[in-house]
Amino acid sequence: MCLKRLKKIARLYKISVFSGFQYFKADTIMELISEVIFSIGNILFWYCVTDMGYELSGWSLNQIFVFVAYSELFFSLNSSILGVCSRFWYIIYSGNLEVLLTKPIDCRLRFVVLNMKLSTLINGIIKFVVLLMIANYSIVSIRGFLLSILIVVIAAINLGVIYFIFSYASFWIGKMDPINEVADSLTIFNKYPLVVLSKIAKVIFTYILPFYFFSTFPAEVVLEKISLKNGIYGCSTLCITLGIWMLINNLIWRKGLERYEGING
Amino acid sequence: MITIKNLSKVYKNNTTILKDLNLSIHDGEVVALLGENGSGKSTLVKMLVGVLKPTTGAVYIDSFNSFSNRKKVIPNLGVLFNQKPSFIVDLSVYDNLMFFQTIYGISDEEFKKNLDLINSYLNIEDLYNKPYRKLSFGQRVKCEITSVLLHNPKYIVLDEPTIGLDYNSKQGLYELCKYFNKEKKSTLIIITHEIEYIEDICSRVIILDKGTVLYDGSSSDIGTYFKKYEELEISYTKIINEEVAEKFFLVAQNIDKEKGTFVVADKNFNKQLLIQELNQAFDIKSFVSKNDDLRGIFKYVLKEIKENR
Repeated sequence: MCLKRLKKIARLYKISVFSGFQYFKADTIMELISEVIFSIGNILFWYCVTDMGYELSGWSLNQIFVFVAYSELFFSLNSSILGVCSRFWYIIYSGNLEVLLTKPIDCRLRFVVLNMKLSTLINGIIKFVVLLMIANYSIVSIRGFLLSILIVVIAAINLGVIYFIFSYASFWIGKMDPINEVADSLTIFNKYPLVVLSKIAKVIFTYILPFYFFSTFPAEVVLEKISLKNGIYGCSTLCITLGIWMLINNLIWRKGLERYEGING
Repeated sequence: MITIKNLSKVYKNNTTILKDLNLSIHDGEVVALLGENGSGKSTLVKMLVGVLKPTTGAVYIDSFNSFSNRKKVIPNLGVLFNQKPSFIVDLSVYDNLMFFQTIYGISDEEFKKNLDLINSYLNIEDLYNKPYRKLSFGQRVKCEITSVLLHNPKYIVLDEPTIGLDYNSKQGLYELCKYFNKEKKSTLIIITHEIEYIEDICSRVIILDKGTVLYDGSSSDIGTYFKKYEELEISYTKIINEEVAEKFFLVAQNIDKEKGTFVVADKNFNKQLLIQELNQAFDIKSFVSKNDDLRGIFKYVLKEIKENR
């Protein structure tokens, strides 16, 4: 059942993304250029910070570059997949939901699959690998690396679910333009290691919004900066919060559908 | 079979759109759903396909509640909401159709067979490689119709399917609907104002008025009402005789400086005499009889049906 569903998604993805790519080659190349410039800017920022003598509680420049690699991976995930979830409100508001509800595929899944940008994600992965190479961190363990990627994937699903929940407010409120702004502005917290933020911010970005699990935590896992106990605790927290958010997501979606009135009479 | 039981819908602003509706639509029927704007046609269709939750009552499709069991009902439905695209605008028509093939789980052989069949009626082959966003409105409607019929749905629901279509495409769609009903035993529910559709392919007509069923019967019976009226559209450059023109203004549906639409209640009227009178009143540019569209005469038909009840 699950395999069949995955095959279906893969086929949809192949149709939408690869076919769409032929129309947007120039767009993809421009995007790659802008991402390279953005990454160079980010590297320069941290280089200047450490060059000026500032220290980030126990993080060397190379270690910061590992963090930056995960941070950049998050931004690529956000541009290619997650940001799409926060724009789902428009489907509800514009009345297009009624068309999507009459098709035999979950309209949220369809929305994400059809709007995600594979080229942005590929650019992001390339950038991630290059940044890890720049970090020149030779003791990155394969096991830790794979675990960190899994953590980032779960955190991405978690944030996507949260963005969807925000989008459902459109069932009650209608136009939800500021949701995109809020979602985009929140990502700024992923630019800096969470260790520099206050305790309250750490709690919020660990237990409510999963930003800790996008860059700081995976970097800590890869660099073996946390104990096994804390690692297990972090992973468990991530999975539990994902479960809770999914339950809330399901509940609000159902309530929203009951309230949905569509447009045009 | 579709069963509608005690169906009501009250919107959030306390507007009652449907009132305690009870209907059954049997397999193989072709039903025309008619009514003035705001009569509840679209709301009924949306509740029928499980998109809107009824305030009271329910719609059952093959004994499944269409709202709470939407996932079970949807694979058997082909739904066209006109003017709301279900295609991905940046992809070509063929890629879009492959997308529908995937989500409906249609085999390659069936996909090709059905596409060829639909193409023979709607002539969309030339559009396959064009991106959807580059199509005209009429071409988009044809593609949407194709996607609706591609999986041989048991129930086909079409909301104003002919809007934007040229004469040949309308005829093609019309024959295609007949084919699906006769050969594939599909049940069709069509919201339309095209008299040709209603008379030739619909076995049953349901007229909604202010959320209730005003008429539910055979299309041949209702056809007699429609045939009594005729809508005329007259374009003119100027008014010649104000006094005579006034007579027309009193019965005009829409009128402006250059154009007027009139409904003649008795189809046996003397057209010659009417044209003479019109010529006295206006400097006429054109004179068109709008026989194929019911919208203009609908209010007169409703009035007469109500009087005869």
